[in-house]
Amino acid sequence: MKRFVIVIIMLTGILGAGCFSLFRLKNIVDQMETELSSLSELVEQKQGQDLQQKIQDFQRLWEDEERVMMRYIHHDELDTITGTVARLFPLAEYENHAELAAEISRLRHLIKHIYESELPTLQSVF
Amino acid sequence: MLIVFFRVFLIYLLIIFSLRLMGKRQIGQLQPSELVVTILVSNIATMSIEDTNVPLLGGIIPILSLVSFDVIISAISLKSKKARRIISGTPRVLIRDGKIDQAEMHELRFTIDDVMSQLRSNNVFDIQDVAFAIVETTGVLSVYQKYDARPLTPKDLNLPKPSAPDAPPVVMISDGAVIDSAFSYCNLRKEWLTKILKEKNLSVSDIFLMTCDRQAQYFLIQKDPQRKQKEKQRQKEEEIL
Repeated sequence: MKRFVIVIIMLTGILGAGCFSLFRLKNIVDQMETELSSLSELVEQKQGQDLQQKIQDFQRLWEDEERVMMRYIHHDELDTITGTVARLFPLAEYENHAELAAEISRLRHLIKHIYESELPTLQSVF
Repeated sequence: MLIVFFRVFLIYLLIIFSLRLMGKRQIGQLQPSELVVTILVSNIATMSIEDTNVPLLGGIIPILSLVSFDVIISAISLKSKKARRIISGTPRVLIRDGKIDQAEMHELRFTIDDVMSQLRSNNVFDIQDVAFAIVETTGVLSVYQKYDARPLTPKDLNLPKPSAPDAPPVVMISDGAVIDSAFSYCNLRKEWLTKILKEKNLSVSDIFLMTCDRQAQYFLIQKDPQRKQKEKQRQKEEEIL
């Protein structure tokens, strides 16, 4: 009986942590999506100074979130995003707007993919 | 390198916890569901130790989940006979009155060698001596011998019972160290041991093994004085080989 209780507590903990991590991931993805949308607009408007500042803010935000996400998300996926995020500032600095736009779009796709792959759908389970 | 070390340590602790949670039965006899869990746990543990790209939680959560499922399945099969039959199967009679049920044997995919080997491990060398042989759900063969082939017991001979017949001897000294709990089991005092050792002109550190029962009957093996020399010699021989 004691074992059974421990197991039920453990399973509740696992399911609770799973739901919480998914909820948190959704918030992060939404926040990143908003930030990346505003970055895209700035790239289209070619506002150099604002763009560089915004990219630095985004980098800081990503570094903070990455540290938490590393605990439960495959490191390869996060490393790919970190690599792409690191490219943003030099691209803005040298005003390579075409490639910057492409990298931002890639980032949006990668970040969205993390959430989609964590979501327990029929596709992701099988 | 250090990451792997810490991961191994954590996974090791986790598996010990998991096996303790699964219960003692696991170690000796595995039911089909328990075997599945054991295989999966060992694989998951290896993966999360080797691949540092996988978060440690990616190993911890599946192991804990598997153990939890196993405990739940065990609890269900404890309550329901039907569930027990589905999960663990049922024991099957393989030999009846010295005759092998060949259809059953074929269904269980047991070969003659398997049956003979299991009979021998039950100290039975002749199939004709078997009244019943049952394949348990763990795959172990339980054998009930015919009356005339069963070993003779004191009960058959109506022998008088000695005092404390069901209390086996316990270890009192192990490799020069006294085991205190043995005294309370044997209803003896430490003075008794001191007296015995004095009579034999020995000290506790000279003794390799001493067992004793509740009738104060003891068995003693002294340490081999040349043990260390022999060990060194063996090591040298191994190095040469």
